Amino acid sequence: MSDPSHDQRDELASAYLDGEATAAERARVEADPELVRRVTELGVVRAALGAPGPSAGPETRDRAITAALAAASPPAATVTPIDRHRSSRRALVVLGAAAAAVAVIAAVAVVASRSSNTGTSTSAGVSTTARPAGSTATFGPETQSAGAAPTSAAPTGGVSSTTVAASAAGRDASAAAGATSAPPYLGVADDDSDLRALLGATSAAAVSAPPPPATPAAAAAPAANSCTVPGATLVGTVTWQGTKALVFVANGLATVIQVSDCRPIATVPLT
Amino acid sequence: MYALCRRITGNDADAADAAQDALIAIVRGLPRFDGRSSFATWVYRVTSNACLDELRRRRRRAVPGLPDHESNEPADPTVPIDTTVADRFTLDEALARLPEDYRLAVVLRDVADLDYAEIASVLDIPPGTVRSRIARGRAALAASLGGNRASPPRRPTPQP
Repeated sequence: MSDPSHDQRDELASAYLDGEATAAERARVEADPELVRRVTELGVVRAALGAPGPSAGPETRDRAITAALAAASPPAATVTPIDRHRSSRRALVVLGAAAAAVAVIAAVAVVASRSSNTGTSTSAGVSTTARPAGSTATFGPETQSAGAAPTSAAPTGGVSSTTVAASAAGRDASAAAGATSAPPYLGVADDDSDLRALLGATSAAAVSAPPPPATPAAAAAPAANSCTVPGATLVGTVTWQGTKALVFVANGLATVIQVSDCRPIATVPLT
Repeated sequence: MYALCRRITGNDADAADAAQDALIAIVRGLPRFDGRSSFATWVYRVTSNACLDELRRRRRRAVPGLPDHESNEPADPTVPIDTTVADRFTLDEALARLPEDYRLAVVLRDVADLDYAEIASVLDIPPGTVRSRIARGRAALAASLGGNRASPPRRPTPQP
């Protein structure tokens, strides 16, 4: 059985220790050597508990933050490091099928536009089917300036921009077309509004202005094909809250991916 | 948050799980945070609940490495308390022996550094109950660690 008087004295000593005792209680403790000794004993316990204990490792921290971010974001892109698929035959088959599909769609569009017998139909058809390549040109001045012949570059560029070069074959094809895979460096963004501003400015500049000269930051930008977000288009790199990151856009949503490990670190609605 | 969970759950793995659950709960609950309490108080409440949930889950499975004896007998009284408290394992073990109510109150005070009113808000109990739980928890810890006057922890009695 515990002694109620001991409990009361411990309560007094504990409250004194925490600075939660009244003036009368403080006076009572200070006048009682036994209570003062008890304050010291409980103080040792408090100091031991308050001492820095084991801390979470970086992996634990990253896992928790990633899980929380995933809980906050709509179920969207799954980020897959490209290296995982490099040796996969399946990825090559899928890529080949996608390229074939693009080629068929382009052919059908060209034939259809010719049969409609309009003066500009051919170029319109190509423009429609080559939209992925167009989006790369819009946000990727390097690709635009690398300028291979439009007819040969369009299909190749289309594949590499929509899948962000999801395989070694894609990279080889891009290289063959003379295109570089480094995305444009958009700037520094610390929050959602910064990123929206950068994306808006980049879109406008790409339409109305020639491609800017490469900056040191752009030169240091990572290869675009290191990370991929299925269904989203890589629009450039940013410094997001001090971290080098890639920005993918799909369905009015920008996904910011940390370059070092292809981990999503932010999702920003563009509207 | 991790430090809080580490002290409440008593081991790294459960603390990591509880801290992650707490983070997710905070992110999901943010739209419902009404500002009636301070944000920190709300975060500590969510974290404490996540740790308690983790403890409940742990009870339903075998846990290696936790003290399998529930004795509240004091340690060797001849060993100075300030020697034994240096032993982290002993401290974790002593904390694990405390009833959850006491452990939460003591950890919120000594690890999270909340005052009695804040702890009362986090745990939704009267400040007087906070005071007695902390005192009894500390006394039990002191008894476990140093063999001083042992006041075996009792369940708290609500105070107005």
